[in-house]
Amino acid sequence: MTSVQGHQQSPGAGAPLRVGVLGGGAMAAVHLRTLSSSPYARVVGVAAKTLSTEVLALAELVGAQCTSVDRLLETGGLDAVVIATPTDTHADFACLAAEHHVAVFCEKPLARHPAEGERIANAVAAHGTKVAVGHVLRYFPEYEQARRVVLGGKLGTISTARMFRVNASPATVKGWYAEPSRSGGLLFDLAIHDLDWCRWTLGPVRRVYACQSGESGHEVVSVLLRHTGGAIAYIDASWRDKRLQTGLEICGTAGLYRVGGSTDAGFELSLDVAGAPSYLPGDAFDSVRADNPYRVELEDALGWFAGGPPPRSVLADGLAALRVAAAAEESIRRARPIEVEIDR
Amino acid sequence: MIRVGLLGCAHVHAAVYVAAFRGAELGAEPVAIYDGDAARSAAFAQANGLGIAHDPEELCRMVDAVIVVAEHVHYPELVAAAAAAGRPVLLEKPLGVTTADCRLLLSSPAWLSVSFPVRYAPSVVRAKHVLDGGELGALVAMSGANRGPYPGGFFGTKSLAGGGALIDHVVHVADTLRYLTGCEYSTVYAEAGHFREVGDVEDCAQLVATTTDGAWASIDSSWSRPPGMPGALDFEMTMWFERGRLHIDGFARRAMLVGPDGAIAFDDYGRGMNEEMLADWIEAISTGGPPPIPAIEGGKATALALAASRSVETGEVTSVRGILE
Repeated sequence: MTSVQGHQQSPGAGAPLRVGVLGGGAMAAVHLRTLSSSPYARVVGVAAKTLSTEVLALAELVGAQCTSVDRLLETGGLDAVVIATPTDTHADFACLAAEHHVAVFCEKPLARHPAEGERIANAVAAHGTKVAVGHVLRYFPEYEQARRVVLGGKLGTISTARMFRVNASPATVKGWYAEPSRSGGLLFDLAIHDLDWCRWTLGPVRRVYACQSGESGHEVVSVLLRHTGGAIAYIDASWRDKRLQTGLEICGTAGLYRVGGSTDAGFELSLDVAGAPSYLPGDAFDSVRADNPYRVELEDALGWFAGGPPPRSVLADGLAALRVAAAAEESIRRARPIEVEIDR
Repeated sequence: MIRVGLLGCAHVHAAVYVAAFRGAELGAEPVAIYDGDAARSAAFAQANGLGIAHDPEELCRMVDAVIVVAEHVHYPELVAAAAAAGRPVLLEKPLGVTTADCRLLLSSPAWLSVSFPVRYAPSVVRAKHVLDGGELGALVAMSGANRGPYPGGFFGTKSLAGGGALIDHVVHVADTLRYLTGCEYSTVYAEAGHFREVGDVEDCAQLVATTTDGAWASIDSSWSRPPGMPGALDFEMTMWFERGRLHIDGFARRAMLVGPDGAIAFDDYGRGMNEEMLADWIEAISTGGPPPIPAIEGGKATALALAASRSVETGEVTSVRGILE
């Protein structure tokens, strides 16, 4: 594991990695901003069906060509790709990259279905390549600190963890988020952050129960996890709110740890102008900070691709989180608790 | 002035109610106590300046109205004594700790109001106004928490309390959501655990229920807070509706008080929810009105707690509506 105080491993002492970015939306722009100011990477191409004006401007800024995914990979010369496309396309692109012996940084969730995640795992095993998964919460300072407090034993035996993550709906900006078959909805796109953090911090999940209500794109989910170690974790997630708000409270036999989100900590802005809601955390727009979670997660991954230690979330983590999310989805569909079959 | 007697003092709220009567002009005065434990009864009577009754019947002869605040398992027999004497009752929650007890209390001829003080919290009163106005539309989901420290006393003993965190703390959120939205619970699933070295009941529990209208409602009723934590007892509900979101903090009326050593305490201000509830109860008795919170209201909320307990035993989603049938 890398240091918790940001990466200290320089991503390779050699030449910058040649990186392609797949996707033309909000997360592609976030990663392009990081890459544009990183000494460890040079963006050689951006590929997407449609590119936002922001992505176009960033591509121009870094001198990257805009092309198709096939051409980008077949032209050769890539060390890594960042996959920031709609969720249902992750698996095909990740497998294609593996076939071209290109390392992958894949946005969460790893894929729409666990079977697709397994397909990626097979391709990666066959071609000996690497996949990092963008479970960026592992790099948010308050969640990192909470994990350190838990693992340090300060709270005693953990009894309960209570997490919330509410946001404006991204579906008002990008319609595919409201299509469960493409995005998996709120559960796979937003709640998976906390599912992953709970697995990472409290250990494997034995059992899941979940409920969902509200129309697609504006749903609210409730996820109840029983960890193999006994802890009870509970997650609220919503796409019916005005802006992103997060928080967690962990209770143990020896104490309690509670923290709100770092995203807007100490910062409150009110503008008298109406506009489209933003669903991204403030950090996403401030990539130059040394502890910016989006910067550190990507540079950690690039460092791994260049021969350094692995980042906090790799293929196996992304796949395990996906399996827990899929169990929650099955629980919603069947209205019963679901045992998580494979979670180690 | 209505004379009030306490049937039992094992419950922490016994002293809370006495203090509320003494601290506010509610038109009533606590005058006597009966508790099955003679030593505890004498100590409580002395500490609070109350007369002592030696059985429930004697207490009922000494007072105009009774508050049942004994160990949960004694509710049916104490309410029966009050009913026989024709004394109006304020019954501490839950309604009962078994389906049999609930049925007994639901069929009691007593004039009985259930103690759900949260209905009187200022934020809940305002929420009720807003929701009665209808502008928020139908309930989509509710996430609630009513956590506290391990309460000690009989609460940790299954033979006296009937259960732990599920029996003690589910009903307040369960009732408030019903009160505000008119929803009824359909199913429930719960996870619970016994993490502390004391007691023989669940001390942490989380339930997720569904309503008959397709919303979900979750409640964290855990005794998960460290003892001595300022503001350890909380009551919060986040409710998503068709046309907006509403968040309620039942204990928001408190200031932070820092001592010379830096120790932080929370200092509640304003008229408390217990005072408001007792005032309403006394007024109903004085004016010959119906019980402000009839037994059936307690039964509906308690059914969710009992169904959640059954879910923990069986590991299955449990019908709430079927629990009292």
